[in-house]
Amino acid sequence: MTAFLEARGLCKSYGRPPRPVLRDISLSLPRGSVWGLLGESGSGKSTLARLLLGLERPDAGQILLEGMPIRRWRARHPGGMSVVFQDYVTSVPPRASVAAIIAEGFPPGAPRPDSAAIHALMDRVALPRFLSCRLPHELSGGQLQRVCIARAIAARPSLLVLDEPVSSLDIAVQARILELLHELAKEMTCLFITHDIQAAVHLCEQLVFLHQGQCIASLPRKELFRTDNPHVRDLLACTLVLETATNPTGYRNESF
Amino acid sequence: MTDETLKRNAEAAPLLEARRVGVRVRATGEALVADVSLTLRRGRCLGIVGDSGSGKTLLCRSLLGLLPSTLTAEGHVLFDGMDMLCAEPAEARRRRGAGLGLLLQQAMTAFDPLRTIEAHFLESLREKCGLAAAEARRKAEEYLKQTGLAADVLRAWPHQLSGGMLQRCMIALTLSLEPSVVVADEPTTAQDACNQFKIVRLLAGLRQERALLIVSHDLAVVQALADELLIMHEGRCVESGPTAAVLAAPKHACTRRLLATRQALSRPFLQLREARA
Repeated sequence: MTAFLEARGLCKSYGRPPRPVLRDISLSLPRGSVWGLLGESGSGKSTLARLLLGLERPDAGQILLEGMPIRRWRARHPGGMSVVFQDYVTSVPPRASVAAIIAEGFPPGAPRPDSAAIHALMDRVALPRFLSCRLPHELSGGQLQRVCIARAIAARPSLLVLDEPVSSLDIAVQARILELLHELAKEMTCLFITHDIQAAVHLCEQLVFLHQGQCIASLPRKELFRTDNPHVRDLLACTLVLETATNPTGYRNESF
Repeated sequence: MTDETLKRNAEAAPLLEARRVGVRVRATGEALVADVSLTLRRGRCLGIVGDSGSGKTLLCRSLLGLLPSTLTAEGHVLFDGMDMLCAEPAEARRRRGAGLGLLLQQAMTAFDPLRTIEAHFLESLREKCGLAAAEARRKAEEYLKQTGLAADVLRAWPHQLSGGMLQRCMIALTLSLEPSVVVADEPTTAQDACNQFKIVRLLAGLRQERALLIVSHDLAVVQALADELLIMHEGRCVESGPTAAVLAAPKHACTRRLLATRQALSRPFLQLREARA
């Protein structure tokens, strides 16, 4: 199977003197796959996302979508790639209504979406319809992030990049959004950027780990605990899991 | 903690007591939080858990007397011999920081971007503890060290530090004022997994000497810290009790749902971990 998105030898530096943020990153996402991109904050995850979305150019290396350079692919597929950022507050115009924000997601030139189309998207992300006239500051964080997700899927993109989309949501909403993404992922290729291994394992079949700008491991989900990479093992050890009688692991409150 | 200390702490006089606290919208009278009572004792940690919008943050703010002017609080918050809800603003202000510390979720916006970390420490320590610059600097270094940060972050500007480092700076700053009660509102939510782990460990340490209130939507974080739980739903306390008991036999549907969702989120991870073991 040919890759839907292929990145080869990506490098990116910022500042003067240049400080490398990404070093020689290669990955290839099969069509319809859901991959997780994991790492600590500052490991280069979001920079890689910006390169893959064509928002910035790499210093070296190449990105191909269905064999085409990003610009050419985007010109052929308006609305074909989409993104949800972590900071939902700065992702939306503060004076636009929920309906107007979601309508932004339809590709330019497409017919203006009617309220039924907006409502259908709101249903999809579990937003009550009566919120459609509200302004961003009248919503909770979780509701606003759901607005951003609705906007991102409005044009039915074939590539969806999710940059920490659930990190600032409460657990119940996280679960619902992950479920939703799980379902959406059947229709598109997804790159899920997160520091939360539990969320990544929930959704992704392949997990790519970045550390200080380098790709240190790319593991199928099932291989996760078999890795001997020390950084991945650190991340696994740091993961706080709710321990209950049904999954006894010798956990004690005093371990801290 | 040994049983002995636990017993001693349980018998200790409460450091902060909230009685039937409520929060209303001033203009309409709509109740956002209603009838929540809680007690914070030295050496103990209370965890408040609930969905977003359940009133956790409003409750915290009313404990500190920090509600926005559009809202009004009712009930009593007894701290240090006074009621924070009907205190003179200057009196309440004097107790915040030095007696009653607050940790916020967004360390990025909690610091003034135009001032160094040192300026934040010096101002707070002068204002709240009356310390001169040299003494304040020494104290800042001491507390930064406790949180695993080197003294040179004092010279940094907020934008030069990562979210995790800033959160640890905020913890150091809060602790340097030596509060007896620390209210931590989602202190790890904006952090990556490793930072979350470090901060939870740090909070577990500070609990020994103080009373800690931790607010989170994540039962896994709360479980690691709290001796007691208070579950909030739509502005009300729907269940409370010792952490282990509540998690082992949740009574309210809301608690069961929170627990089930958290477990469902962790399940694939746990399955992989157990398969390996």
